[in-house]
Amino acid sequence: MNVNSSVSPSVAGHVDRTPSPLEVAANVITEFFCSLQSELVGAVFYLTGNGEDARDIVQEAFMKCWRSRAQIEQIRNVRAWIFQVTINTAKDHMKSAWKRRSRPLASQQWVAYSEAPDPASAAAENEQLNQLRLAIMNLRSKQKEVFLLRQNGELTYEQIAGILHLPVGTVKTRMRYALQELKKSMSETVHPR
Amino acid sequence: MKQSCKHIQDESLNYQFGLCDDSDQARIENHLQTCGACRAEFERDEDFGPLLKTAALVDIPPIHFAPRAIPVADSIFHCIPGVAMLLNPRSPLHKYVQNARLVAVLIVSIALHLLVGTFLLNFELGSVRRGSITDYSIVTTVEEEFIDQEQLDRIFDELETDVEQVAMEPVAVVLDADLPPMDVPDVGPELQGAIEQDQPGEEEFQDAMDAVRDLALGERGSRVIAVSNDDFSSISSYRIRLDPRLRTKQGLMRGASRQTENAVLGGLKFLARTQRGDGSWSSNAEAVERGNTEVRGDHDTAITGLALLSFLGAGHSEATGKYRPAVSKAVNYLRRTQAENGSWLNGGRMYGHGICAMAMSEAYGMAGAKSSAAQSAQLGINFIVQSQGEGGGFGYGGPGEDTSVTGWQIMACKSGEVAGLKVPEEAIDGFVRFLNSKVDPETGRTGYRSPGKGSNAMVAVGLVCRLFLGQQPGKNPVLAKAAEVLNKAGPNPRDCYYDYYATLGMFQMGKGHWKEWNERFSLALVARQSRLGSFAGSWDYKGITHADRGGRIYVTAMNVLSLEVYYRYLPMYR
Repeated sequence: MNVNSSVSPSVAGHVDRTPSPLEVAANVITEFFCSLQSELVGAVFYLTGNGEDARDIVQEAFMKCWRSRAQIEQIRNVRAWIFQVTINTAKDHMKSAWKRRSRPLASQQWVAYSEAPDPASAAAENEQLNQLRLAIMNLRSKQKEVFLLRQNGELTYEQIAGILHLPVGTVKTRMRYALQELKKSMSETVHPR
Repeated sequence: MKQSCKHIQDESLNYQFGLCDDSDQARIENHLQTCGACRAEFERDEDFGPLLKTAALVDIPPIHFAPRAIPVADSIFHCIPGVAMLLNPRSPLHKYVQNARLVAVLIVSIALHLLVGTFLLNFELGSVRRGSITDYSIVTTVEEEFIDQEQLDRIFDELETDVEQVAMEPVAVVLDADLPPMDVPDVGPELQGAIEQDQPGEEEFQDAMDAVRDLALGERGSRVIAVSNDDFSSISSYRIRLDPRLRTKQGLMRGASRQTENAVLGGLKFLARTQRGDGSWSSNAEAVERGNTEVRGDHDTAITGLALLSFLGAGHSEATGKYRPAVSKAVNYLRRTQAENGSWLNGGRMYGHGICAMAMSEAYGMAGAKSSAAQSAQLGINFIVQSQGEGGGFGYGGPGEDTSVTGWQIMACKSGEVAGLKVPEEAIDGFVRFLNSKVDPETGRTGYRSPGKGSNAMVAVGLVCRLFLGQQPGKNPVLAKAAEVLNKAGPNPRDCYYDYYATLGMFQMGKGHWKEWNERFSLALVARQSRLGSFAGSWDYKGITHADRGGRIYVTAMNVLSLEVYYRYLPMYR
């Protein structure tokens, strides 16, 4: 292969093409979903209690966002928007009577992220984690929603208030209750007094 | 007092678990400083935040988010509203479509049209695009996506078999051999015409690889860097950047993705947009934030060096790439601002000098005879050698004991050496001596000014410098320990300096380190990139360590360099 045909055209080919706004928008959405998938699936998983569905719901949310990619310029915070769409998709899903009977705390394949260096501390960490997971699952749904939007979505309380149509004070109160519950669940096991 | 404590404690649950709004944070931190009881309560539970964060996530096999199946159907119906109406059971027209076969025929016909259309489009664009494997831009209209996806798959298939075919026996390469000629005429960037004819082609590259392999079988020099032959040699390192095909192949082999490559393109676009007429960039954070890139800052030469490095890292040189003019302008600027003694000390002191010397060395290494940086780069290296302290290290003003400053000098000398510039053996020995004097062999930590005591960023600097000085991961336990420190600490979204070095180090450590680091690092970084408006392609500098001294341009250059890690330097030890 000679130099001119192999190198220059490809350089030219790749640099001369500026992506259209729609392409950029789709790009942004795909990137956000790829990088946030653990957070999104985690949030939906705890809301619906079903791991299998969570994946599908997140994918459905992705399609919803993708279809409205033309409006992305008007969206101030894409991350918040994606969480809003995903949470709403999950809620719609739960409203449907068929799917309400979800299995709580699904199968073993939902393995924890573990950063513990050795098996022994991994086991201890896992026990704590499972305890905490159960506690998250058992939160009241209103508190759970706020907690997940804050913890996984990293939305500000104002953004959460906007999404849920609630006063900021109410959101903060729910968050506080949620955290108190979670902390209690841990102190019962981890810090026996 | 008690009441206020109770109040704070309620609110501060959020704070404690890292879930507090910025506005509340300061208030709570104030309270914590004065109230010992609350502080004790917090310290007891400080592990809880990370645990909670982990618990709320679930680990699943990656989802492939791709809008393919549905958009195709969507677009057909959008294109031909009549069909949609016919097919819609609620439409008044639907009753006329009694015959299901008619619908089938319609669908087949549409499918055929679409197919032929795509084929033609493919054919037409093929002449330009078939060879173009660096077209990473994600496209969303149906036809284009079809082409790109196909194309990408093809490249993947092709490259994967390529990769398999390469034999893997390790080869040692003598660095000092086969140097490009040092006596290079000092030419400007007006060589454009000759440039097209002299880019490294695949055959030439193959020749270079063969030559390198032959060399390895012969005499072994004192400083041997081990590489495996699929990884090519450090001599060819710059060539990989220059050839889009090799670059992509390297990238794919080492974990790059469309997202990371798009982010690099976006970052470079931003940098090209903010370059000043004289070829420099502004380090004035506030001015850049206001959209004014003309205002001088205190560290403009250093920032210019960094920006130049980030262009070079993606294959743009004085002789190649879309940003050839930007690179040439930057090289000229650095040449003009270099003092007679070879230094770039105006602003940033020795830091700036190391960065600029490194950038000029790479500029020369990449464009060779077409580069105007050769003499300037050698002068820069010479200045480093002259300024080296007795302990082998550097400080802000010259000789000294500062690991961070010394790191840049080491990298500059390494880049110079790879480019074929003269770096005396004694200087390298001095670097090794310096690093050894700053490390705590127990923990593997390299300190800032005293052994083992310093930030994680210094651990990363130490690791990278050792690797680039030729120390092998398997042979020196300090390297593995340092990598473990970094692995434990993980990427830090608030410190692009640390992230840059740590990513480079983990990449070179390879097996058992790189894959996980890359997963934790790259997409998260891509997700933080600004996407809209005049800052599109850049990264915010607020809240980033040291970034007030270089602003958005500094952070963007560092992050682009981090995302170029896949092909910027080849893995040296695998």
